[in-house]
Amino acid sequence: MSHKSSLSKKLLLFLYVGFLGVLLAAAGGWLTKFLVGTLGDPLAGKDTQLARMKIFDSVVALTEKKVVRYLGEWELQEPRLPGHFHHIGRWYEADKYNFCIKCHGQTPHSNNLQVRAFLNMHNLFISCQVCHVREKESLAPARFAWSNIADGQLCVSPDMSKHPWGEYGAKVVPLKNSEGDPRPVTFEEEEAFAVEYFKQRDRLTDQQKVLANEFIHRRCVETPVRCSNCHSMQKAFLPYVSLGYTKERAAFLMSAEVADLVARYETFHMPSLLKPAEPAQQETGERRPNDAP
Amino acid sequence: MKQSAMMNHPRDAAGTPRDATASSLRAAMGLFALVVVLASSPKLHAADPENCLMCHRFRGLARVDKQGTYRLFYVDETLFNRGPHARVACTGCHADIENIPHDDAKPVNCLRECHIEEPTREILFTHTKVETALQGSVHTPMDANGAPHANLEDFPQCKDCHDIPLFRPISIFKKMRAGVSERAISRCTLCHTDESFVRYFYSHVTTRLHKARDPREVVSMCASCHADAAFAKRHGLPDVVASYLETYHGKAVLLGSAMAPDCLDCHAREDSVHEMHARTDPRSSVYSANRSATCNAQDCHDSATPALASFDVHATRNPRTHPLEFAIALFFVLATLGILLPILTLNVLGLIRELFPSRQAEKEIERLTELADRKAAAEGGIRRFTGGQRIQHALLVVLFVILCLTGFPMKFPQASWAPVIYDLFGGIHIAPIIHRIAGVTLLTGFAVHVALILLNVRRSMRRENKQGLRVYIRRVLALPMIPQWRDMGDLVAMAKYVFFLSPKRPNYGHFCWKEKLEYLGLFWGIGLLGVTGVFLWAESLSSHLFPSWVLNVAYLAHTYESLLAVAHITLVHIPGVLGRPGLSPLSGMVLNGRISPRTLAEEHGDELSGFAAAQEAVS
Repeated sequence: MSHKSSLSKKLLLFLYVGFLGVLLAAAGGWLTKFLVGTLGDPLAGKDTQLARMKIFDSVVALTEKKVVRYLGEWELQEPRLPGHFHHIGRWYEADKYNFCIKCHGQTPHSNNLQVRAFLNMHNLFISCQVCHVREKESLAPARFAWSNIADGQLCVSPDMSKHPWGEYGAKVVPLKNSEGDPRPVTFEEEEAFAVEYFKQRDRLTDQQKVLANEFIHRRCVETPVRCSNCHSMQKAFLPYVSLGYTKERAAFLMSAEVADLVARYETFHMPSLLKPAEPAQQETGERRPNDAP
Repeated sequence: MKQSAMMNHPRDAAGTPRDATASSLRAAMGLFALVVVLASSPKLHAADPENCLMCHRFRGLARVDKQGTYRLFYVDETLFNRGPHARVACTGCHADIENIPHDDAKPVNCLRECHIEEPTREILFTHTKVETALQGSVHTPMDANGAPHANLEDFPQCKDCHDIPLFRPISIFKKMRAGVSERAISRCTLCHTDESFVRYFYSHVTTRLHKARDPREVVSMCASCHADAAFAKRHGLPDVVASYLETYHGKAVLLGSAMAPDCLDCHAREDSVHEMHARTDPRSSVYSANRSATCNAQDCHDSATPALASFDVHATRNPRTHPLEFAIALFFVLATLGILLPILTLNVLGLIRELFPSRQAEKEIERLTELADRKAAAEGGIRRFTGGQRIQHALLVVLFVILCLTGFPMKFPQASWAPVIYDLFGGIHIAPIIHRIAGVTLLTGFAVHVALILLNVRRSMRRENKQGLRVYIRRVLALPMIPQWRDMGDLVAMAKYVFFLSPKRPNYGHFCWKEKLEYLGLFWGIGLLGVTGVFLWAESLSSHLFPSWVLNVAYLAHTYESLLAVAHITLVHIPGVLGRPGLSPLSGMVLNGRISPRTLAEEHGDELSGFAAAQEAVS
């Protein structure tokens, strides 16, 4: 008994001394590093490649870097977006569920020069599947519901008047299965394939990568839903009212004001997108101000 | 709470569908003309007659351009309405947008006349005068001959220093506080019936009655260029931001003082915040001849002499540019590491040696413990500290902790814990006062301690009828806390023992070499921290007595010595006294003054020699 007690006491002593010793050694190491770091030119140790990092900075800024406005009564902490004049306030809640976003990001549209920002805006509350995916070729979805952006589960229509514009914590998704057992359109096979693809991507040849890419996007349509399909004075692709939009809002989205705006964008800007761009346009990627519509 | 309320975006009238008439949309004037007509509807927001927010109120309205830049077109309506631009329509700045759909907006020209009337003269408002002020300033991209500077892209545009301003209204009635004075608003709205205008006007004016931007924001703005190593290298500038943040000015700003000076307070001319010049320019507020006027300004160091201006706000520890500061810093770094690291090493090795004691040391401790047990039995316990000593120690502990808690947030103001601790002590305006009070109390207490010791020596001499300065000095040097040659031998013996070079564990007397070293350290530390602290506290008075480079030296001595003191207490004293196995977590010695026989045997075995001799004599 006494031998055991002596052993456990010894073990405890070992642990204690080890812990204290490591703690003191670490503290001594930190102190040395800190004190030596206080000597010399403070600029010498700084990263001199900051300029190159500006683009990366702007990417990180969207989620991590915050700037504080000290306004006396309150402090506004908002994302720091270099060169942005207007206040952002905060960042929107990211879609954590949708698989497309894992590769394409929250701001996926970039081809349609004039409407890409509008399309990205819709990405806040409409899932990619609504416009880009078909369960069966040439069979457009007819039933839609809201799906929670945190877990992908179907949820009730959000009370939009209680949310910031477009930020409802849910997205419109197309439905599959019967009326009695509705499920959001998902791509289990493609997702599983994509996960494996990313694991093995570095080992694949270019041709294999193309094939894999084809498979992952096999249910994506060539011609997605257009703006005018939803913002039309005739029949809208999305059933606004059954999705929980007020009748007034639904009417507004299909009103002449919006439909005409959309038509103007599509008429004047979109047709050129499908044509081969001129060298100058290819170079900058932007439309020249004097270009004829 | 207020912030989250601000961040909530309830829909307003501008978000509701409006009664558009489809026929007029297709009319020749087009959609843009229609929305302008609709703008006359009282339902529309005053600042958005074109209903730009129909699209721009969505946070997702964004794209990534070919250069990889994320372009966000979202406008936070609530925040927009909390600033002086709230009454400016979108096209007031984005004047190139005349039609919907619109192409990419051109960069905004901040100097254009916007659609707001300047109320004093009923002319269109413009920021043109800023351009005039910027002419010839160090930030203008053109040199005196109108030729562009090298590295033109480094020279700031409006947006590099300004994002859209937000009101910081203040209420001044009996006291000044942040926010709108409802008392004032109620008086205004008696005649001016448009309350939203009254609030806008009130906020606009009172924002200008103090700093329109918090000093932290100003420093952060300047730092975005001036703390960039590559930028500084291109323009041959030192790191003015790091050096500023080392001063009391910078530290106080970081800890939330709105009164501490930011970059603009010293570098911008009083008559124009945009007019800034290089310090070598005679027009500059920090030009050598103008600096004293800047430092001695009414709201700053008005009782200081012009000598205060010789304080180098941007001193670094670069040996080439600031050799004196470098030498002082180097001395303290070497002193700190030179003292602490060897003692730490001995302590850690001592702990390990306790796990593997020599047979000789074990036997010796057992013998001494028996002796100490007998002594304790004979004397009813072994007293080590008197009541007066314990009270002095307790006072020292309390004052030390207060000084640390009110001093270290100032040393590390950028640490997340710094403002939290300062808030416990009343924030930046109260905590430094507590620090000074604690410092003066410690200085006074230590002076009383020394005086009492010297007085006791004198009393003992009187009792023994001894006189003379030489005897007095000899008596003082013979005090038990004063190091003797024997301590050097003990240190060497201890080192040999912990390095397993000798089986003999030294027996110390009433005070060992470590305790004596710590006691001497108090004279050095309290003296140095006290004197330099008073210099820094009474900076204006100091300027009457010394050239102000003394303050640069005093700051370095204060900041390094404080770290040495805290490091010694936390890494050496506390683990050495309380962290030893058998004593943790708290020794009762400092409370009841009594030492256990085992500890006496281990730490002060030599103290038992007198008792042992007496025992032998009796037997």
